[in-house]
Amino acid sequence: MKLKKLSIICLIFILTFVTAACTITTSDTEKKQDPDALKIHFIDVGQGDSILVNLPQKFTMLIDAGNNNDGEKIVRYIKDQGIKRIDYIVGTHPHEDHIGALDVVIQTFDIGKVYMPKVSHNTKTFKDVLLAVKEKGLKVSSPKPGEIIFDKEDLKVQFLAPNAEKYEELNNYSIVTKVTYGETSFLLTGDAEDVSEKEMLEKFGTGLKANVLKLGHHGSTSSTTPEFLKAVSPEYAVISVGKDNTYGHPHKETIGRLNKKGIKIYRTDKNGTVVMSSDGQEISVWVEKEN
Amino acid sequence: MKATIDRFEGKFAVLELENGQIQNIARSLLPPCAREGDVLDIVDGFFHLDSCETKKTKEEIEKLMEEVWSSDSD
Repeated sequence: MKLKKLSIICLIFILTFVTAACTITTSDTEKKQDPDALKIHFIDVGQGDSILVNLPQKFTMLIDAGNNNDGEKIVRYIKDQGIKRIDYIVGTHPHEDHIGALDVVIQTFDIGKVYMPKVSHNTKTFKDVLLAVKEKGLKVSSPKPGEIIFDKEDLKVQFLAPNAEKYEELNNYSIVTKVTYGETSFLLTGDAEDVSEKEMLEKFGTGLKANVLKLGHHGSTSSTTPEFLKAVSPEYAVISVGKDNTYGHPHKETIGRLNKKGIKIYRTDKNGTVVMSSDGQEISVWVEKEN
Repeated sequence: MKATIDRFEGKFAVLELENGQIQNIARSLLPPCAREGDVLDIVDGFFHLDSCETKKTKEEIEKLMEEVWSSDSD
């Protein structure tokens, strides 16, 4: 009887060790970074956008920084990737759900260049970003339409919008970034709406084609027009959106358009943070939560 | 109390309050000519456009923009 008890205890011990060993192996594999893989992290910031583009040791870019209260989360996330310097910061347009914590990010990390469209906004949120830039001794640049800011070793980063000087809506000032790595490409559209999409169609046509489309304006019907979607013709769509948000994003019409084309959808409200990894040939997707 | 219109989202106006908090209100509560960036004066639950404060803030922000914007972007 005593012997039996002892063997059960032994078994428990062995199982505990085996489980622990397995856990370590898994997390090690997850952490092991392929130095040649481009990773695009769609960080879950609720109703807002924050996208980290990283090719280890070569290129780091942060497009938007969520809401005012997302600073801590975004900073921690970037630090967890082992990143100390952000080569390029993009504030797509001055709405609070995109530039909210940009001031905190600028204060925390070593920063290369800062890009924002040259349009003013009267909020404290916007002022805080400008003050952070000033205190750090940086300058803000506005992208020239079609400007290529990086083109080395299979990685090309180009701004496709805005293409006009003045718009009625701040959303249309959104800086749209196309990231191409080898054979794979990602189109990150901020809150660009139909007006800007039409301009991009006229200017870039087939150049809009991408494997992944980060939908404009959180999947609102103001963006992702059928013509634009046809030109991009993505395999994957990513929607950065808050759970049960007040505005009904993403709109069901937009989801319908994607479903009709058989486009696989990832949403931060359902999947949490979504990370897409490209070796230049193929894209693999990691999600924080399965649907 | 003052607030600034950060943006419109369909039937909602998204306000940035003085303390930096964000609040959604029905767009119909605002004067029809209200635009993004307008400063509002909130009195007894009513929203009034504060054109003086809007102008003052705009000038202040634009001055700051001139300071921090790179000259090659013009």
